[in-house]
Amino acid sequence: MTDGAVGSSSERIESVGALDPESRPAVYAVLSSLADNKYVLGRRYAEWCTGAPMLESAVAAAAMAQDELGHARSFYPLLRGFPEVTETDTTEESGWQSRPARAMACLDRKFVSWTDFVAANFLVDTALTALLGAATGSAYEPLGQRARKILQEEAPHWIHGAGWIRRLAADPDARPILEGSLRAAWDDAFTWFGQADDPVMNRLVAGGLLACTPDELRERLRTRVVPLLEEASLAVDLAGRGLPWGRWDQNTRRLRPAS
Amino acid sequence: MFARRKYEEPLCQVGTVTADAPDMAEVFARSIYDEHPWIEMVVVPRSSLRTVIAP
Repeated sequence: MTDGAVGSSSERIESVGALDPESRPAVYAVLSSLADNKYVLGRRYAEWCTGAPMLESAVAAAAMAQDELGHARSFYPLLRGFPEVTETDTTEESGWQSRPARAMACLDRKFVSWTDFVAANFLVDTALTALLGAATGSAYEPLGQRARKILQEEAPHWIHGAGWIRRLAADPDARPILEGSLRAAWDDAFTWFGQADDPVMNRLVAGGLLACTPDELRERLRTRVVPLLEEASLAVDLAGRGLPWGRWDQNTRRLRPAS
Repeated sequence: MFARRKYEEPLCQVGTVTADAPDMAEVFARSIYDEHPWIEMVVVPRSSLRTVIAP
């Protein structure tokens, strides 16, 4: 899920000041959302460091939590250079445990079961990776550099999530619970790229900062996860169902809670 | 799971992991046995081992 070159621009942009004024708010919005999602996902992973059903996965959960928090930690300092920065964006060095974050709604609460962990690992983590895969050749070099490094670290996360999907799908007791967890995370993961005409994402594409439009990113995510779900005959109706765009909040880049 | 820290050292058994699939075994081995900067790490399915001298 990577792209070597983005758009037609070969000019590297090394700093916020070098971004064109129209693209800068869009870059900030995506970096901020990426950072918050990585940060909260890392915290949710960490809560299962001693709760996983296998010792091996408990250690893997700890390692993945470290990875995600590290990724968030690499993005937050970038935000400081943007005029759009808020006070809470710069609290990663103090009070970080209570900093407000705008992550996907399915991460608002602690994972109730291991299947919630696996669903987030499989869908949410993979959605974030799909976007980063389209940013490896970004003209904005601080994003491209991080995307290339993070993609290397994300490979084991995918293997872990996919392995657990297969394992739980084969367990008649766990299977229905896993399907519920997948349903709970599906809409958040697939809407996170924004609608087809999303002004933020399309601005990045037009500026050579991202290789894929929202629909293309959604298709990448679908192509990544659906074959495994079909192989396991798991929640196959999810792939064809519509997304709840009525609950999409463009400003926070997340779905509002269902009423 | 076998690993070594230096090129002049042989691979030694460092531990074991339990996994459903080879790629999961790789993930588990990497995360569990990350206490050293290994230069090489391999996992071998127990079923592939041939006993030459039994204990």
